[in-house]
Amino acid sequence: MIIATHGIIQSKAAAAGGYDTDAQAFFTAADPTGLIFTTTQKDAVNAMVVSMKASAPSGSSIWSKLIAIYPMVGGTTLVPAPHTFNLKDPRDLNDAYRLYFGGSWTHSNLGAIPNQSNTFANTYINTNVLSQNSASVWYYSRDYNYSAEIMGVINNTSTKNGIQFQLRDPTYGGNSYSCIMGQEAGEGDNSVYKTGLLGLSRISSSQYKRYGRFSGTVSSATVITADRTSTSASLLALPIFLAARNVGGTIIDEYSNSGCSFAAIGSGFDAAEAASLNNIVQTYQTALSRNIY
Amino acid sequence: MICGILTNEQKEIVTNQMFNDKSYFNPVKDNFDNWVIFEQEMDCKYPEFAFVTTLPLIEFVPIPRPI
Repeated sequence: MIIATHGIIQSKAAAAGGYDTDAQAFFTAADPTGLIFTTTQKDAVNAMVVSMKASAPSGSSIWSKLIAIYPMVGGTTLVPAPHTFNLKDPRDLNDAYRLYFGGSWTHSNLGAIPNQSNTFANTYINTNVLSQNSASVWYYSRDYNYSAEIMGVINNTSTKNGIQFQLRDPTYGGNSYSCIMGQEAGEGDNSVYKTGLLGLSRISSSQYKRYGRFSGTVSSATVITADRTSTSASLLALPIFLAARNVGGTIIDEYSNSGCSFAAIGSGFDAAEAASLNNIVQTYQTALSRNIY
Repeated sequence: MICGILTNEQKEIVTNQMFNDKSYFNPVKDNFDNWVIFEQEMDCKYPEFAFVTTLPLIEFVPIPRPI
């Protein structure tokens, strides 16, 4: 009995001392019984946190620039809870921007897989908690054989002011349109590679950037930037959805089937920061053996 | 993809309700004007929504979207 008690104390001390405090807080919140996360999963999340805190290619760390990070690890369809927690604030509260899923998602070691028919996830992050001229959204997409929004919230379908992150299969009409903190840009992207870490980022009032791997070899990890002319617009008191588009808070449409292995929301990223984030997230996915390139 | 057909009354009962501790029902219309939900929602273990486990099943036909 004494030996067993001693062993438990030793184990807790090692765990507490072994991981970054923010990573450990996430593990404790998302897996309170300690029965869900494997050592591989914990090591991967911890390495991602440490790398985000260490990487500051333009002055501020990647970690400090994000207000929500969804690692999409440890969940199953029967127990989706680990996929709901925000690594930046792992309290089980709307105010902590933890996800609530709507519709019939499949949750697995690949992440959260929407069904393109009725699935969305509410981040509880209204665009008006971000800055009009400094905001970014990120989604690690596993596939794209449909035309839909991987992240979205707009005021209405006429002016389309807000965030719209479309992946459009060529068989459904070609160009993928987008916007962030403004109206939809006239230019679409029919060549953008639609898997891996994809991002929209605005760091000026007149332009935003779309990040992703453009057409090329599947193994290409090069992050390409597309500039999109778009004047920033007033912000919305409406939450950003994953895998669908929140239209005015009353309609949900453009349901996606792009599996989500990571998502994040924060302030605007320049190209160097986007490349750093891409490397960190790709390393994270590789550690979990679910990288798609 | 298989879906379960809800009556209008059942649709009102499940709308904005949760089918597990982290997920909401989200009924949508199919191309035949039925309200439907899908597999994971029909796996609901909450007794007040037990009716969703025995819904009539059909193949889901989405409403065509404009190109």
